[in-house]
Amino acid sequence: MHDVPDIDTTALLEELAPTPDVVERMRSRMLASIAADAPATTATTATTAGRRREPRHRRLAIAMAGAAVIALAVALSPFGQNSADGPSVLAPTSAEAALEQAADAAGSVPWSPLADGEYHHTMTTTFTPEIPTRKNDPQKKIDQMFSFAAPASEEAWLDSDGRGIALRAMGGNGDPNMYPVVQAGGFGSQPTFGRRFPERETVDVPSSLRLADMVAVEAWRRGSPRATSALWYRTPTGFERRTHQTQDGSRFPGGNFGAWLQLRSWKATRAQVDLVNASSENELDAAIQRLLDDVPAGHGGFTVPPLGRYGVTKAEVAEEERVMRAVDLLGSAPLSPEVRRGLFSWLSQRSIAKLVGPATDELGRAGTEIVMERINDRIVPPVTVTIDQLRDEYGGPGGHRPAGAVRGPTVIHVKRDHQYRRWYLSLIFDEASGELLQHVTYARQETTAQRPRLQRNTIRGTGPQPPWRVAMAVDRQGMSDAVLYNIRERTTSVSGVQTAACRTTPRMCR
Amino acid sequence: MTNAPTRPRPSLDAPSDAELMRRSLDDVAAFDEVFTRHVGAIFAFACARVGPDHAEDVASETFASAFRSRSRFDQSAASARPWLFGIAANTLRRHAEHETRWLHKPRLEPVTRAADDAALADGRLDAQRLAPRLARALSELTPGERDVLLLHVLAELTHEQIAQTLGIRRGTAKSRLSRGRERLRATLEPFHHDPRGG
Repeated sequence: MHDVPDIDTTALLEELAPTPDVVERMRSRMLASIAADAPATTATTATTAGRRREPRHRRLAIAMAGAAVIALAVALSPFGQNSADGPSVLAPTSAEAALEQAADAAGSVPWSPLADGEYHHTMTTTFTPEIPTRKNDPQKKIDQMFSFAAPASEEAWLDSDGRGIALRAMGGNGDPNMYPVVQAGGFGSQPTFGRRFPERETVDVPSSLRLADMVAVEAWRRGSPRATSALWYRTPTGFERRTHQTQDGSRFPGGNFGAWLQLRSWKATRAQVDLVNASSENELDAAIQRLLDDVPAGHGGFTVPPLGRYGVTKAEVAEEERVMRAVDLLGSAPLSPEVRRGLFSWLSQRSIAKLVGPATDELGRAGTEIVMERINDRIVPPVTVTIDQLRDEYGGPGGHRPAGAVRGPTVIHVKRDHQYRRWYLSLIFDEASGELLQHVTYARQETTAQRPRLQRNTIRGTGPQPPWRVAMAVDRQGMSDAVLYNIRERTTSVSGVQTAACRTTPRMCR
Repeated sequence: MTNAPTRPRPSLDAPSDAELMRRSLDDVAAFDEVFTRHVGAIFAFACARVGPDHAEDVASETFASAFRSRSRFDQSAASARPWLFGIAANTLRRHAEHETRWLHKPRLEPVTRAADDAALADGRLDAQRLAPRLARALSELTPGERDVLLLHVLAELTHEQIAQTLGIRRGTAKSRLSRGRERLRATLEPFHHDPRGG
């Protein structure tokens, strides 16, 4: 009996090699495709009903007429389809240039506000990304920041009133023979992801979502007085609905279920979107700044106190928060081309933005990557700290300074401390179309010594309690987020479903 | 991997892929040379994934896309092969349906036939007999393992090049390759019993 050999590639390659005629056929097809792409003869891309965008080559022509840039090659579509429509711009040589190109492209799209009968259709996918290591931020530390959550996707069709449908899929571990164990009552399950803890690398996002453990379907359909939410779980016979509830809209922010769906999906309320979209040219910059400053609760960035620690300033932390807000809005909100151009331009002015260059996202789509990063890394010798210094440290320079009595020692001795803070953002976008493809954010802050900090005092005791107290602890906090922008378009019906699990059970997604 | 496949080696004074890609910005004929050098490997990769009927489509689309995005090619790269395989892998994602049908297609074992050269015949016979089992075995790998394994086997890319092509970490490429090979071996092992009973 032979030993188990490795694969005999010689014979295999001979079997798989093309014959000379096949090679010539492929060459002819390639050359014909190249000839068809030549600018003078580029065909107009057919548009489907409900799409308001012009074919890309015309949008690029408008952008380039303004920018006076020489075209060299065709850009790739952001949504997984290579575009054959005309030339694109020279490769940018700085983050500012790349983002300004994206601004031009985003600002050149024909657009109108959501009309009656139209939906804003979006889809995003979250996944566990690779984060580059740094000195004092090795892989082990980075891994500690991730909960190793399953990939998830969120797809929604929402009209201007928030009516429509949202699908949220929680990915599985990719094993088609393993199913989630659903708890009695249908709420909650033992998911397949993590049940047999795979190495991170074995779970690829498309497989995980195609074999999703669960899909949450929330809907407030046109003509229906009630909003509903349902949980569907994957079974050997397809997805089955295990719970179905009607929703009392008054419990949600905005007073109705639709408003809540809009905020969750668009990262902005309808009022915010309408206000900024209606801004005149003179008001636009200020309106965009207000939009960036007005971060809804729960949608902010890594701004956990004490902000004065680590040597980072309040302005720097505020910038980080607004960068993440700008990215969220560009990825999902139904903003006008002028506003999107303004957001890209605002990003282009961030001095910490650096160009990485051509990159592919987690789905293999090609674009341009920029990163923004801030690292504060310092050794603080042993020190004696007072309450006043803790008040200063809480909100950072220029920030909120807690007032009122403080429970605890008034003078605290702190050992030698290594303070480390890192904030990182990677953004991949298509500068030729002005669409985002992917963002990854990561933030970690940590001290080695137990340090005092002010906290709200929740300790009960007899008599009035001071509003603040001194807490001693090693600081160890982090957050991470990785989002693919799968789609952002206008439709006139709930159609063009991208949620992979819907292919198994289409009725789940109508 | 045991026997490295032979392929024409460029002569010493032939331009590098990087030089050809640079020239292709103004001269299509330069890109045609890149096509000639790498079309066999790209076609073989596509063939292993989606079968010969669709491999032509995939390979043609790959080179057409590569031409359109040639200005993005990293001029410091020694070879265009990893970059082309990255585009091929991306192109194959749009042919996922064909891949599923190809890998799960019921297949018959090929009929044995005589050949002039016994060793060549054995090799061809093995490959023919192996092909349906290989397709079945490939269908049992995850897409990530399949990509990495085929890039290593057919394109002879290193871990580093595979990682670069697929946009993953080197460690990820290495572990996927290792797992893919083990699982492939486990599936193919019964095939390698000597039919003469040895």
